[in-house]
Parts: sequence; structure tokens; C-alpha cells
Amino acid sequence: MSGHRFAEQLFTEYQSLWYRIAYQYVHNAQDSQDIIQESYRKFLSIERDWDSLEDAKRYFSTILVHTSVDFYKLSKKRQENPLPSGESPAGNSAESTAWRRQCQKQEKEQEESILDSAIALIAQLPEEQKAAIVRLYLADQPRSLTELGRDLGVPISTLKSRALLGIEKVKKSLRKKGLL
Amino acid sequence: MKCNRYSLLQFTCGELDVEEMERITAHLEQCTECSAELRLIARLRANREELCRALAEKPAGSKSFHLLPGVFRKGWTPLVRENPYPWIAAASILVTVGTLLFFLIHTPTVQDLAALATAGLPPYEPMILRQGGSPGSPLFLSAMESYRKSDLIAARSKLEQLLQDNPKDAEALFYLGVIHYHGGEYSKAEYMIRDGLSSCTYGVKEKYHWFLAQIALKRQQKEKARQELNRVTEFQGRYAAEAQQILSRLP
Repeated sequence: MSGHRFAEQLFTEYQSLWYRIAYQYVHNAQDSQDIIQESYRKFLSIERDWDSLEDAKRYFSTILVHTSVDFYKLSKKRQENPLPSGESPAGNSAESTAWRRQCQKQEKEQEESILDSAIALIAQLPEEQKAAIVRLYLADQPRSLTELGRDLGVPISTLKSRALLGIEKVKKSLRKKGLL
Repeated sequence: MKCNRYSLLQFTCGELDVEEMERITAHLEQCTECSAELRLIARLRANREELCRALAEKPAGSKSFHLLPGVFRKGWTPLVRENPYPWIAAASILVTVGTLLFFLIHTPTVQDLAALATAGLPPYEPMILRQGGSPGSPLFLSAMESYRKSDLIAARSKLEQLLQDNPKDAEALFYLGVIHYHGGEYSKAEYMIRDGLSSCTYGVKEKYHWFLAQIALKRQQKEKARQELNRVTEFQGRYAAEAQQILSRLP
């Protein structure tokens, strides 16, 4: 049995929750709906026999979170390379186009500045915190906390504490610089 | 709901049940602090390739050097410059190092404890049914074949592969722990063997306690070693006599 077994129930009962989770990442209604649709497509393509609805829900939510992150990146790219002004539904005047470009340029600069600072800050973290962040958030293929804990030879709670301490330091420093 | 950063972390990994996700989502809609953290994590994840590349090029900063301003100016960074009390930090390090040296010099038993740990590679004893794994798993058998030939690198990689399919395979966890122990990675070894012990509901647990005792000895944890050795003697098994001997020699 594939993901079809619980798909309808997941869609009808939890649609609002999925939407709210996706919205937290992309802050955009259209993208949130696209995320849910893409997550369903991925979910339905999995040939797996789900033991229970709980099992299916957990798996779906993991797909949703990772799809949201992918869309977040996509939305940033779209902001950098928007449609030509003639195809844009709103604001065709030269003035509004210039203003929009100016905003996009500023946003891009700010994004780059945040990333540069984040890289510098993460590089300065103690090795164990850096390792926790890299494994948890920057790995190509996301793995469970249990697996990561075993890889690093630490209990899950230690792994979480290290990652949270590191993220907290990065967040505070970015905030001090007015970047967050 | 108050901010719960641990739950938020699990939320970002997609490892929460739906009810908990619902609670966190409701909290995120109100809390700008947690919302900012979530967006930061999303930002890091979305740019992971770039970040990984940059981190690989950027050597890790050594903070201990930066604590002495003006002396090691080269490694001076904005993150460390925010530290307002560098000399206090340097002094506290000196005091800590001094205290450690004092204890190292005045504790003659420290070396003795590690010398008491003499466990070799335990032989692999095939069982008809292995707990937590399939009885004749070809991968496990192949791992044990490498283990018997003392090809620990091959055995390790096969056992790790096996654990990806079944993270609670007690035997695989035990032997992987033993391999880590012999590689000098004691914290990893302890974690694996403890994990194996908690998953093991079948057979004698003597060997797990025996190796936990060995790890404790290597790590100079006298009380922990004593506790584990006492557990070993309770089994009255293969390691009981040796455990008793070590117990009598423990300072």
C-alpha cells in the first residue's frame, strides 16, 4: 500500500495546520499552497505501507518542512530575478519599476550581508557547536536526531543543546548588527 | 505557550507529532523571537551549499589566542572583540590549568586506573537469534567476518550500514562500541554500548557492563567503574573473576 491510504484524511483534517506551517517559512499565501501541493505529490509518490495515521502524519510533516525550506530558497531567487516589468500585473510605470528594482537590490544586499555574517559567526563557534549546526541544518540529506547523535557520539539532548547554543549566539550577534 | 526552543528545533527537523506541531505553529504566529529563529534556520538551510563551501574554506578561529588582545592580533575577529573582559577570561584559564596540573601531580592513582583496563577484542559468539536484528543478516555476518580477521575498519563501516536500517540492533551497537573503544573514542564507545544495553532484552548483558567498566577505567571514572564491575560480578560469568581482581586493585 502506498501513501494513498491516509492521503485524503491528511488533506481534509489537517489542511489548515499544513498551511500555517508552510506560511511560517515563506510568509506568502500562494507559495504556502504550492508547498502543500508539492508535499502531497512527494508523499503520494512514496511506495510505503504506513502502519498508522500517526506514522503517515509524521512523515508528511517532515516532507512539508523540507519542501518549505526549498520554496524559501526559490522565493528568494524569484525576488532576485523577477518577471520583466511588462509582464508584471502591477505598476508598469518607469518610476515604480525603478523603485521595485531598488528594493530588490537592497534586499539582495541585506541577504548577502546576513549570510556573510552568519558564515563568519558559525566559523567562530566552538567545534562541537559548529559540528551540531552543520550536521543538523546544512547536511545534504536530512537525517534524524537519533542518527546524528550516534554519528557524533553524543546523546540527542546534548546534540540539541549544542545546536541551540550555537544558533543563539549567531542570532544574538546578527541582531546586534541590526541584521535580524 | 512559553518559548520552547527544544521543541522548535524538533519542529525544524520535522520530528514532532502533529499535536505538538499545532502548538508550536500557534506559538510562532505570536512570538517574533521564535519566528525570527525559524526564519534564520530556513535561511541557513536554503543556502547550505554556499555555507558549507565557505565554512570549509574558512579555518576555525582559535578563541584562546584572541583572549589576549594585541598579542595575537592576526586572529582578531568581531565576534571575540565583543568580549569586554578578555584579561579576566585569560586569568580564569590560567587558574583552571593550574588547578588541573595540581590534581594531576597529586593524584598518583590516575595512571593506575587506565592501566587496569586491559580488555581485548571479545570474540564474536554467533547466536541462533540475535536480538533486534535478523538472525542470518548477511551484512552482520560479513561485518563479523571482518571483525574476526581484525579488519576493524571494514567491520565498522558494515555495522554502521546495518544500524542505518535498524538503529536498535543491540549486537551491532555492542560491537561497534567495542571497535570505538579500541580506537580510543571512549565517549562514542560508551554511547553505543549503553544504547545497545538498553535495546538488549535477550541474552546475558554481562559483556555490556564489562566494556562500560573498561571505558570508565580509561576515562578515570573510579566510581562508575566500580559500579559496572560490581554488576559484572553479579552475573558470575566469563568476566567475573577478572572483574573481582580489578575491584580489589581499585584505589
